Amino acid sequence: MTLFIVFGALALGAAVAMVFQRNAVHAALLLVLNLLAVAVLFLSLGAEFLFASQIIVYAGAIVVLFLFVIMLLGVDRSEVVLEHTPFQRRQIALGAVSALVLIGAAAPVLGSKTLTAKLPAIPKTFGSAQSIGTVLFQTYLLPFELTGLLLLVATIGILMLAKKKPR
Amino acid sequence: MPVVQHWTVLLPELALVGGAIFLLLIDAAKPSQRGPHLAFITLVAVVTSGVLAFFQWSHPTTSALGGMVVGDKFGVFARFIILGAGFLATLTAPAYLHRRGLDRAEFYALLLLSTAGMTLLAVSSDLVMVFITIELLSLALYVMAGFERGRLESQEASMKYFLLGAFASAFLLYGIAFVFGGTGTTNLLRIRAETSLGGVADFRLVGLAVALLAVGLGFKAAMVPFHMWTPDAYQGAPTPVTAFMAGGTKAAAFAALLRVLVLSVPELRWDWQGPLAALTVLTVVFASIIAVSQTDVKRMLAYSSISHAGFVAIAVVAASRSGIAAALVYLLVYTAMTIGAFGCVMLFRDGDGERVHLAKYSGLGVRRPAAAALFAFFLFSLAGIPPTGGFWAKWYVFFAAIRSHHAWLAIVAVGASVIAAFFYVRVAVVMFMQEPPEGDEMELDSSVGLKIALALCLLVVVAVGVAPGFFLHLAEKALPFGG
Repeated sequence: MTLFIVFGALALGAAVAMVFQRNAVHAALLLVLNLLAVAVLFLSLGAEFLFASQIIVYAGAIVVLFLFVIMLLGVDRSEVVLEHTPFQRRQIALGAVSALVLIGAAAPVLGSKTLTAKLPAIPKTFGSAQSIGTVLFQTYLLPFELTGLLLLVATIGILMLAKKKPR
Repeated sequence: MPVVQHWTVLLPELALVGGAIFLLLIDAAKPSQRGPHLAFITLVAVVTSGVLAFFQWSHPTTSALGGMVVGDKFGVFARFIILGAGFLATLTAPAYLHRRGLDRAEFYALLLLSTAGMTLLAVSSDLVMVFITIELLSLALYVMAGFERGRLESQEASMKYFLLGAFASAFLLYGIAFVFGGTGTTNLLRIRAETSLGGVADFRLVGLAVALLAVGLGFKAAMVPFHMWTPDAYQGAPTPVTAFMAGGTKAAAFAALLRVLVLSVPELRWDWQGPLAALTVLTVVFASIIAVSQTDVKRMLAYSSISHAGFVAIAVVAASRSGIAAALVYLLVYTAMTIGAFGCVMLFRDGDGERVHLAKYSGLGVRRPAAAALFAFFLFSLAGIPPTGGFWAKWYVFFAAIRSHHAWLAIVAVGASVIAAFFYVRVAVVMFMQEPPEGDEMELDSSVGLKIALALCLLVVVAVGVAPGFFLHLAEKALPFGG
């Protein structure tokens, strides 16, 4: 529980700080912190495979790519000046109010102790590499295959939109 | 549980994906040859898919492939609407793309892959499938919306659609996570079992989850207040893509919404009917009022498509057998008439571009009476003026609402359609009652594909107008959902 409070707060704090960060490089680094804290939460739930892949794939590969792109574009040199127009300020206020309403509606539900009382107990192997493999390649085989198709679409899309000169 | 089971359910989608990969391969082999044959291959793939789906009508299967998809008649009906949208969009595309130097195999490949995503969404019976297929269809559409990347509006359309779409996906995923947390499963039928009497689900958590799912799907169906991307995306995207988005995506999104709300959580009906009815009222009233002030015809049709999402949602609120059948008939007619209307916009050339500003339509009925009359017919059908197919579609939806004790919803919607009729009829007034400007020859696009597409749209709208009972009967036969 202590572990959850410490790293949950860290994940939340890093996420909020990332959104309000004006320097893109710093924002990406805060994202790493957030992802690492979430990885620890996975570990505390006994999902060591997710813990490892979260660090390797997200904190490792993806954010490093983010940093490459940010530095290649040179965003760190010219900081984006954020000046809010009155319209935007009203939008932000509206967003804050609706966020509070949503949290107010969701908090009593999510805080209730009897919420998952009737659910069957979680099996010991839940989250292990073996059980993830079984779920991924048996029950969810079709979604897994479709993810491959999704990556094909993404590849075609990138080539179409970002390639310098159309043939 | 055997992993591979009834894989034949996926044959229609395999035809689409196979066609897409074939297109990419022949383009890689002979990159210099571009032309109508690419569109022809696409049409063959869509028709093959349709034929394969048709066989499932007489041999519906229950849950297949580990409960991921279901080959029921409802899925076949929805697939036919989606494949029809893909077919019509492909017919209109070659001439449009050629004029703008965009006729590339990737366009048709993406169109096929997006269609496959939509048809799979219509047969998904697991929330994980719902999420992945929505991503599949959206990702292809984001790229297609920005296909005319030399034009700023096209880039804007793609960017806005992408950013807001990614945001909406997060809501959907959050909802799926809550469903799993509350019921221990993502399978729609097992969710139904767990939320029924004797199930383990906590209604509060599932209720929260259903609200989040409705946000995610409402975004794809372009319901107010999740519609903000629609006018810009529809206006900026190449018009064949707009027609495809307006027809196909809506049919797929509503098929999924019907499955999630009516099939998997009917026990929470009293919780979701109220909020959904509120969204419905907001959608039909707001979209109809905003559309009145539009002067860009593509943008006006975008608001029209938003308001039509509201009308289909009325049938979802009814949540009865006749409601689902009415929704299916509505989606069928809507797809034909909205693609017909966008097709007419493509038909009216203005130099190299198309006529999008309302003022440019003045006198079109004098110079090009046949084409203008066709456009007016589609607009009247969108407005729901009898005896067009659009009238009967609305009629069935209202009837279903009244029968399930939501008469007030039908009354509000009738009021909104009176407002909406104003802006549809206004275009006809501009075309027929105003003098054509001097020196504007008002040439029409002469491509054969576009003409065939318009003829097919006309055929469907007239057929539903003449024999509405036949189509309603067909839609009722598609029910109930397969297990």
